[in-house]
Amino acid sequence: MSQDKIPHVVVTGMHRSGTSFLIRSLNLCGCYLGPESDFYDTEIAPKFGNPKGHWENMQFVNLNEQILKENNTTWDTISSEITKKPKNLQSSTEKILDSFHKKNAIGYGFKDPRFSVTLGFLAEYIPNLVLLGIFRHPLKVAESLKIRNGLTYQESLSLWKFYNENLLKLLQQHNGFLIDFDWEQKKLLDETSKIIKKLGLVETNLENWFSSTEKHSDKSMNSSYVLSSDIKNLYEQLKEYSIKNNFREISIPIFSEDEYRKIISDSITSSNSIYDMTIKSAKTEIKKIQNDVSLLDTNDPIISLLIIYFSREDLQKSFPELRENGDLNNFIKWANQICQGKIKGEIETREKILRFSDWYFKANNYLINREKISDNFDRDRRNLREEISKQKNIIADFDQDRTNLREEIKKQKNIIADFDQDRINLRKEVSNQKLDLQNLENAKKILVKEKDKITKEKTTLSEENTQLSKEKTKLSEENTQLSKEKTKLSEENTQLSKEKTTLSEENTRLDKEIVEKEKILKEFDQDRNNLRIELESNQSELEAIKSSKIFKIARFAGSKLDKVSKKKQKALGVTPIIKTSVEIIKTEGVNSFVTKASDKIKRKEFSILSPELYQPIPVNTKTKKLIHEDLDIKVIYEPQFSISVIIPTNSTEEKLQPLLENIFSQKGVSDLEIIIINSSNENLENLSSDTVKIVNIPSSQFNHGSSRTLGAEKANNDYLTFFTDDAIPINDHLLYDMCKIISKDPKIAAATVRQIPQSNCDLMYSYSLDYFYNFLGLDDDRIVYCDNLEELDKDEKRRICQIDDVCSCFKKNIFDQFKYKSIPYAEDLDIGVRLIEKGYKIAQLFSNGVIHSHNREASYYVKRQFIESQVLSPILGYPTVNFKNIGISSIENLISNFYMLYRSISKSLDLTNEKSSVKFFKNFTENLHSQNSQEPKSHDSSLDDLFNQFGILKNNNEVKFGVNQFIAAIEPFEKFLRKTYHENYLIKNDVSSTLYKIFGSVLGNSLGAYIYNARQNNKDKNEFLKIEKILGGI
Amino acid sequence: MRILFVTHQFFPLHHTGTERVTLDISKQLQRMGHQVTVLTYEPSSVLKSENNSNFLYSGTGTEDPDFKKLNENIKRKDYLYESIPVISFRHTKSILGFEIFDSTIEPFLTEILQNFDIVHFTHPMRFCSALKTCKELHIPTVLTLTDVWLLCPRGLVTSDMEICDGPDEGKNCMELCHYDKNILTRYKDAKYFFDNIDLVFSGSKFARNSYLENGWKREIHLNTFSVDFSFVKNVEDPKELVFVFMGTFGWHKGLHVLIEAFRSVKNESIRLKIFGRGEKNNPYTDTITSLAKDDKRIEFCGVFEYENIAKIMNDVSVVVIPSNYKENFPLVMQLALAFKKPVIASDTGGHPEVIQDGINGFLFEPGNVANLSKLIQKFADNRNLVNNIKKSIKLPPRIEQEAFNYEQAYYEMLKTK
Repeated sequence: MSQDKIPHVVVTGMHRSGTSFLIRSLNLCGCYLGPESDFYDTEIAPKFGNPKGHWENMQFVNLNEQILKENNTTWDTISSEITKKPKNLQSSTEKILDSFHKKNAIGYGFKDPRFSVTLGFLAEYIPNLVLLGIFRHPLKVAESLKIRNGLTYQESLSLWKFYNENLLKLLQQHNGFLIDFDWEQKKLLDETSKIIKKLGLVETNLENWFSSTEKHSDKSMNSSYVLSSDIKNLYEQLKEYSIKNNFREISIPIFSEDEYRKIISDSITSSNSIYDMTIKSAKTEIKKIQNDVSLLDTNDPIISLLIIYFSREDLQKSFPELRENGDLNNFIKWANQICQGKIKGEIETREKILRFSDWYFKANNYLINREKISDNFDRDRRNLREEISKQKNIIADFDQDRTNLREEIKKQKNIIADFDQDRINLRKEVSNQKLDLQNLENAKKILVKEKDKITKEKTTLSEENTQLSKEKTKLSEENTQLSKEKTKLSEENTQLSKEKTTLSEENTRLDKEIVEKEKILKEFDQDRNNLRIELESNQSELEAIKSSKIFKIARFAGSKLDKVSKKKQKALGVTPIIKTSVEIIKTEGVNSFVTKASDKIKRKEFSILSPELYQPIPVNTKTKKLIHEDLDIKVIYEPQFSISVIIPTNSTEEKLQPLLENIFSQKGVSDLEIIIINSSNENLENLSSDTVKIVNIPSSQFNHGSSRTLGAEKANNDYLTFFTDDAIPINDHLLYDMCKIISKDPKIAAATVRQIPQSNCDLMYSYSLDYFYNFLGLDDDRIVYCDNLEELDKDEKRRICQIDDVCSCFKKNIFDQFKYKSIPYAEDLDIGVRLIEKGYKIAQLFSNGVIHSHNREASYYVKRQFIESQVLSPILGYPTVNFKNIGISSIENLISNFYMLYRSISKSLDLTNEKSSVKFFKNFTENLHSQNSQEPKSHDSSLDDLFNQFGILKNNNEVKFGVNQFIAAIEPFEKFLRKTYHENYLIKNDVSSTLYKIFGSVLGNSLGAYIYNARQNNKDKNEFLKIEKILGGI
Repeated sequence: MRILFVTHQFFPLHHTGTERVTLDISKQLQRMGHQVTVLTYEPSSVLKSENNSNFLYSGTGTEDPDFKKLNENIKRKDYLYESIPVISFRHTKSILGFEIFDSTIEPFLTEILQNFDIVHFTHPMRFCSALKTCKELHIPTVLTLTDVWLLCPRGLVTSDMEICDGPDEGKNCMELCHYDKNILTRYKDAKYFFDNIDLVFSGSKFARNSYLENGWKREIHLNTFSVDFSFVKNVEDPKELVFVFMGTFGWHKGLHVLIEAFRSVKNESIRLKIFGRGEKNNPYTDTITSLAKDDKRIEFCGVFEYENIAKIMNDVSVVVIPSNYKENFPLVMQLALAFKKPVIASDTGGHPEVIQDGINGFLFEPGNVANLSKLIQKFADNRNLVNNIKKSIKLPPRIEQEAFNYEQAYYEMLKTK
């Protein structure tokens, strides 16, 4: 509970107006007035002024005094509003409040008449402030002050006016309560109780407390003194305010029962302890006074008192603190000293003696009063104790009630727990039933479907049956008809024998004609030779045209058209396209034509594969993919395929684990056998089991084709699946999907899937895969076939025959007829070509795949492309390049040429630093042509090694060949970057290393083409042994 | 394909599981030839409330000059993280990230979203409004449930730190967590978002079931959270028996349970390595340090860098995940299995989906010190146990597989768009 929410009651009003009565009343009702130590000065050593105590907290009194001092005034001289606010007022106030807040209470109370003057400064630091004011008739106050402080009526009345004007302002400002101290007892106590109730304090009988309050000045005041009109006016205003007391709601916190009990008990204890101290000190004081009086060293009380009085008057001048602190104790001490002759005084007039007598009388009364007070206190204490004991009884009742309630709650909780258990059980039951229901519904659906299907099939069958009986009748009729025709035909046969004789005569005549035709053919041969000569002369002309811009555009357009197969050209009606093209070129110019054509291609208006060459696999026959486990749609891969998996490897047991683990978890396999063809020196026997066979071969015998075929020969199951040892199926239904599709159609011989780059894959491999699948046009599952392969262009051929033995699947009976051949490279493409040629189909799947990629250095791409260009040329009929015509006379020449190109690329990389990919490639290509004699800083160490191995490097040659090929080769890479990466975030290191790899491919391709050409022209094979050795062995 | 991933916070400032999943999938799809961008939010300073709920407050702590003001409410920053372009938003004034839809961000979404074929939310906090923009632009949307934030902003833990069964349409939120009526609007908005996403995935059965069991019925596909194996290497086993904890210090992560259980095993040749750290001056952190104080076998190793995971795993025998709450699917669990390290995990949340008691690790009752202590003792008593368990650990799915499943889903969506 935050103490800030507790009401903080400030009790104030003019001095001598009943503030002490009011604050003590609150205190008796549980309001906490601060730590006992704060009352030592005011209560333990009480002054004459108020026999029943002031109940002032000294901390606040001191603070208020400090404020008055800062404004050079005192409580009894103040006449104008204070303006100077002492420093640290907030922290001082908060410090005092903190000392209050250490104690939990239902209310905090502060009393000081000075608050009437100072509250304007302090109010903002006191939380939940409730202002409680009290006033009294001006003349009663003046009389009281005259008696206590010797002030004149005039002085007192001007103070009364000042204090009460301030009070009224504060009351209006804080919506405070006001009590008229002159009200008759009942009214006074009723109004006070109302406020106590509002404050949420404990209502207590205050009669005893009030009856002990004495208002002497009521009787002794000079009621004939004429009050000024403004004082009268102010008094009337105060009365009016007090009558209309607006009992506003006060924000009081709500306590829990325990809290409240604790706080009330604390409050009563605190109230009592101040009480006890007061009574105790009062008794002590009385005793002291009696002792001290008895010490006076004279027998004549009048003389003694005179001495005391005059010494006091005298000392009032010399020791002003006596006036300030005129308590009886000190006074007696001083008086005693006078009596002992230590301080001398003078006796002047009789009048003074009489005045002193009057004072003495009052002092005596005080002593008597003290006794009375003590009695009253005792009575109060008794009452309070009774009250406490009543409260304790109530609390005990509460406790009993609480215990009963707790037991009741405990019982209820048990019942609830039982309910909960029941509910959980019921929920489980319900959820089980739901599951059952769902299963039943699913089963019902399946059965309904099945039923529908069967009904349909039944109808179809009965229809077919009717149809068949009709056909049977028809056939028997036809049979009769045929016997008739047979007779007719035998007649015709006789007729034909006659004709045959005629034809043999004709034949003789034709033989003669053939001899004549052969002569003409020889003449044609002669013509052809002449034409060849003409062709060669045209070739050089062609080279010149090739370098021209028009040719480049034409080649671009041509290359796009190339992609449309001859057959498709027919189907699409190429002639109108050409006509339209020519029309556009004529009317709108070449640029416009190129733009329009490339737009069409982008919009895929030309599909890459001819539509009649492939069938997209209909969605309903496609195996359900994407999600390998789904509770909503469960795809069931029933074990139905008997599969032999063949893995050639030269790797370790550890590296094979991920693939094997994955194969074992494949679904839809009824019978599994894994055959590992091990060409490494590793012992893989640990892997051997009923399912896994290890076939060891020497590494020298390893060949991508023949080793796979060896595995196939050892295999016993219906389907063969080949994996490379570093491939991992992308999901657990890869084998199922491949076999399922193959099994659909006896003509489908094989299935192959795409490669998914590994998470450590470099930019080059990532780009190569993307480029390759774009080239293949593989963006969905398809089945491809072709009955006139030789008529297709090389790219179309390549697309159709695609099988990737990183992962491929065959029907065993078909594979056994074809087998992978023992060739150095592209054994998969080779088998693809042969299968298509024989009229088989291949399923190429985009919706499934294997994780597979390699990060290779640039020199690897040289070697790979070197082999590929030699091997693929005969398979796919790649065009030849006439190196002589472009000024390359030897292989050394070609290597030097490429070394220069390598340096140009490095220099260009040094110069090109743009972050935007468009700008980078533009500048890179431009910088490639710049002549710069500086040594390049960029380099690729694998290419450095390779060129060093070639050992025939000349730096001064110009680049004759390869720049255009290189630029053409990086063009799709640039497109890939733009497509895949953000245009403004080029990562130079990755891009540079990829450019070197692309360069490696161009280099390898050119070297391979050169050697292939040379071979075709029967050049000396030994000439290339060194190159082949360096570039061999991948 | 042009794919936009939307997530509530991202690298380099934030690196919890969701950010890791988003980054790894993004990079893999990029490798597969797709253009990927991440749209995210960066509060200028982050304060997490003590119970680690998903409340995020943005304060005005750090100023980043790269954030350019778009209007009086929103700032934007563009940057590259690893190879992934990132667009990051920030409010100009601090806000409480509680509501589902944020109208202040909406005006800037069309310009960004129109450049993409697919929008994939891996955590929709602060960007749920993007769904409306996608609908206007006819862009297919995908959501991966990485936690239960849509159901509950406090991760299904009540303000009294007790496990909550679910929001009960927001009624429980008002009753148990003392939210005001606005929570009902939040609930409705979240459900609207969930219902209107085109395709919903979950990385775990646990997250999926949490939604289904709360009556948020729809098809939720499972695409199990995976591991990027490019961080995974063959590692050795240490000679001593080393248990390891990786995670933040918080009551919910249960580190105190582990330390107490470990201390109760009197064996001088076992060790406990603790990776992660707690907030300074946090009473829980103090509890942890004093719990471990005089046990020399326990070592605090600081925060672990993801890139160094192979190096760390080199000195690990058993990974312990002692979470005290329904933890979804900790990445550490999958990582441990990728490195073939046995896992001891509390039997809660997504743990039992992966950990098969006695096969690839062990399960214990959450918070039960004696139960966990017995398992530690078991390893200490039988030094062959690590190796035996290791043999039957199956590798977790790979990032390529998770990304491929998403890619295929995108293609299907674009076909039927």
